[in-house]
Parts: sequence; structure tokens; C-alpha cells
Amino acid sequence: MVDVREVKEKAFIVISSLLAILAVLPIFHIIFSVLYRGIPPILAAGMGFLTEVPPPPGGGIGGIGPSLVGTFMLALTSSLIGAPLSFASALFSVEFPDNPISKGVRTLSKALLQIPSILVGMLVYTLVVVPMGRFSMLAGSVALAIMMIPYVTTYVEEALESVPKTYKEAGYSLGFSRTQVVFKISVSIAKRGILTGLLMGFAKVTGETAPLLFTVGKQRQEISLDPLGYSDSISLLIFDFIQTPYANWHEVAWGAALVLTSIFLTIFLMSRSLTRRVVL
Amino acid sequence: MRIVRVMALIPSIRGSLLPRYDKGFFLSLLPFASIIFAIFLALACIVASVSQQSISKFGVRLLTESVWRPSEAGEEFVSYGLLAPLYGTLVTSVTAAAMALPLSLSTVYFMEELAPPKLRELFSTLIDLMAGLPTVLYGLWGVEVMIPFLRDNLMAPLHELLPWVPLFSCEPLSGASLLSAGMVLAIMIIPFMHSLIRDAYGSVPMTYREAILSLGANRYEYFKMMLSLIKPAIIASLLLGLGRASSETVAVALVVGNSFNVSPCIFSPGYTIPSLIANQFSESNFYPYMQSALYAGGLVLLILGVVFSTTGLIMMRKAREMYG
Repeated sequence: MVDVREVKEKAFIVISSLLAILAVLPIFHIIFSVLYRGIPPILAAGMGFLTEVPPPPGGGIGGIGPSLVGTFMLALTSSLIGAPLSFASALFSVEFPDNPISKGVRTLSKALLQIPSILVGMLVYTLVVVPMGRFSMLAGSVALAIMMIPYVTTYVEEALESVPKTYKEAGYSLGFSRTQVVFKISVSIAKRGILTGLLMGFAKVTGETAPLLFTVGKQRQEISLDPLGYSDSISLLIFDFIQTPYANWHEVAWGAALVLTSIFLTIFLMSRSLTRRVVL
Repeated sequence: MRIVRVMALIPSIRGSLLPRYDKGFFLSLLPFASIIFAIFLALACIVASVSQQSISKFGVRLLTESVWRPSEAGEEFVSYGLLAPLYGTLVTSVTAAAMALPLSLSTVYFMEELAPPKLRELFSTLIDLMAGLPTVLYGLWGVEVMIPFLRDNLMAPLHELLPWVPLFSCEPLSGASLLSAGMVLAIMIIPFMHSLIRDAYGSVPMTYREAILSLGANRYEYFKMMLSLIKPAIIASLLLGLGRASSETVAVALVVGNSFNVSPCIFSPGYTIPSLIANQFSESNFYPYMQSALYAGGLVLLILGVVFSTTGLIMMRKAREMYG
């Protein structure tokens, strides 16, 4: 006599386990594919892959030097713009939680997370690129900073909120001013959380593509550090090269994907190891 | 404002100094906090003002026609209609949310009820990794690895077996299609939907779980009841997942095939609004009305996003209120 209930339960367990494994299978396969197809071009090009300029269509591997430098410069400059802004608005909304402006900051930064990144690209194109008359690294970093702000703000808010009230009260009882309590107590207790937030923001902007499409130009012929000049990013190079019919550009794109994945994984693991040590 | 209360207790120590410090602190942070308002204001103004030109010229035809005819010759030849990308956006995001839901529910059940702690830790790391992975890598993998596989092993057989079903009626050519875009998007929104559902699942009080089990429910019945207890959160995750999927750009642009097409067949290439913008915006300055039409697309995208996320957030609040 077969028990229908029991059969249903067994089937359910099997199916849900299989589906759960299926859900995470793609990430393994993506990383495997990136390794499998990214290692050969990098081996063929050697260390030059990180410093050379991309090859002409149909000839060799070259490198992704300008795009790699561009990625770092963009992430750095956008963090320079975005990090202080996010930190200050997070501090504001945590310290003055009942103020209508803080409520607005919270709601809007959640809403900004949902805004399509391509719209940010369009906005910066109209606001920065058109008035300046040219694409530039600056325009790209403004776009990335807008992407970064809601993200980092949320992380920093959470970190600051996790500081126990008793510590702050102890500070006040010693006669600290609010500024002193915030910077000497809250920030130093929550510094790991804040750092994680900044790292996550950095990781996010290194991988972004859409906000850069119409903002940075595509400087792939030489390494450029000029903030007002054209720039490039690895993600943009992958996006462009994979849409061309040239086999060697496809190889470059896979090699670039491996570099991008390594950068992302490094930052990801760094932020993981930081958060795990938070005891508060 | 417990801090204020504490400060009220100690005026004798710092006297009237505190409020003044407070005010300076407040005022020095204010301009930074206001930047987020400025971003929104700028976005609203620019989207409204630039799209206005094409909206007043084409009117509802922008949404009901599927033509994309840029022309340098003269304004009378120009015609823009966003029907195809709008259709593609909706089809791909609905496909994605529908596929991601059972997968997200399974990962929640697997991690919460089945997996030993070590495996649970691994899953949670993997899901975080999926959430943060640069989107262009999903697109690259999608176009180079997933699409050829899907075309040969799923699309072609389905088309041969069931050509009379409208969904499978067209021959998969390159494999870049609405279905491929939907699948890549599904993979991308799993971590997002998973974390929303998992939060709600974890918030169900232990007494409810014990009550279900004490009635003699087996694991399947238990999970079914748990799901009915977190229904608002599941609906919310679907809506917010739709919002995420409809706004994704580069991964979709690589796998959707980029052609103006309104067809019931999910193997046909299509367009989505973000991928249309990604492909056409750089040249849009050279053609009259084109940039404005693309901004109108952006406006449609914003409205879709607002609808999905506000209803989603309302459901989410409902879910939170259920168990305090």
C-alpha cells in the first residue's frame, strides 16, 4: 500500500534539493567558463596582457592595459566623490532619525537602488557630457558615484546603527560633544562595517557597465590618467568586444573577464573576512 | 531619540554648549545629505523635459506602434514607437520572475530546513557572490556559453516537437531571444528574491511552526503552510524581482538579439527598453526626436519601476507587520 502523503513528501524533498542546486549551478559554470576560456589568451599574451593595448581586429591578443588602468581610476575617483557623500548622509540619517530630511534620505536611497543604471548614464550624459562637450573620466566617475551612493549609504547606516547605545551614552556622560561621540565612539566601533560598505561600493563600481556607456568615451589606444580625457573600463571592453565578429577580440574579452572576476573576487573575499570578525 | 533624553540629563556638565554643537553638526551634514534629493530632482527634470518633445509629437503612438525609423532627411519621415521594446521588457521580466520564484523558494527551503550548517554557509556565500557578480559577466556567459547550449538542447527540440504551439512556433536562429534574456535575468534575480523570501521565512514565529508540526504535518505540508504564512512576502519578491529584471541593461543587451519584433514566439529575438537605449543612445544626437524618444523610453521604465517597487514595498510592509 503506497502512502500518497509519503510519496509527495519524498518527491518534494528531492525536487526542492535539485532546484536549489540548479539555482546555484550557473555561478559555478560562469566561473569555470571564465577560467577555461580566459586562461589561454592570458597565457598567450603573458604579463603584457595587463599593460599592452588591445590588438587590431584579426591580429594577436595584445592586452587590456588602458581599460585596466581606466577601471581603477574610475573606481578610485568615483569613490572619492561617492564615499564622503554617502558617509555624511548615512551619518545624518542615523544621528537625526526623526528629521524629515533623514526620512527622505532613507526612502530615496532605497529608491535610487532601484533606478535603472542606464538612466543614470543618460542623466550624466545630459548633465555633464553635453555641457563639457566631450566624454571624460570625470563624467564616468560622476555616474558611478551616483550608482555607489545609495549602496554605501545603506551599508554605513547599518554599521552605525549597530553601535550599542550604551557606548554612546558613556561618551556623553564623559562630557563629549555630539561630534566627538560620533567620530571617536560610533565611527571607531563601526569602522569594520563602514569599511565593508566602502569595499562593496568599490566592488560594485568596478563591475558596472551601463552608466559608462555614454559617459567615459572609449580610450583603448593608450593608458590615460587625465580626469578630463577619455577613459575606459574592463566591463565596457568586454561588452564591446564580444559583440564584434573578430575571434581574437572574443579571446581578449574572455581574458578581460578573468581579470575582472579576479578583481571582484579579491574585493569580495576581503569584505567577507572583514565582516566575519565583527563581534558587536 | 534616547540620546536626546540622555543629553537632557546632563546639562549641568556641558551646560548650554550641547545644543550649539548639535546645530553645527546638523548644519554641516545637511548639504551632503541633500545631495540625494538633488540627484532625484535632476533626474525627474531631465527625463520629463527631454522626453516631452517626442511625447507631444507622437503621443500614444509612442506606446502602441512598433516602428523605429530614424531619419536625417526631414521630420515628416521620422517615426518612433516603443511597443516592441516595451513588450520585450515585460515578456523577459515576467519569464525571469516566473523562473526565479520556484528556484528561490527551493534555495530558501534547502538552506533553512535541509542543509547542514557547513553547506548552508557555502550556499549563502554563493548567493552573495551571485548578487554581486558584474552583470557584464552574466551577459558574456549567456551569449557565449548558455545560448549555444540552449539553442541545440532546448529550443531546437521544442520547436521540432511542438511547432503548433505559438510560444515555440518560430525557428531558433542564433539563439539570442526573449527566452534567453529571461533565463539570464532569472539567474541574476535569484539572489535578490531569495533574500527577500528568506527574511520573511525566518520571521515566522517558532510557535506557528510548532503548531503546524504538532498537527502531524509532514515536511511537504509544513512547507506549504509556511508559504501560505508568508504569501505577501512572496508576492513582494515577485514584484521587486520584476522591477530588477526590467531595468537590467548590459546582460540583456548581449542575449536578447536586439531586433524590433512583437511576436508570441519566445525563440524570436527581441528588444528591451534598456537594451534599446544602450544600443541607440550614442547616435541619438544625429537624428531629430531620437534622443527624446529614448528618454520617453526611460520615462516608461521609471514608471514601470515605480509601480513594481511601490506595490512590492507595500506588500513587504504587510509581510513585516504580520509577525511584528
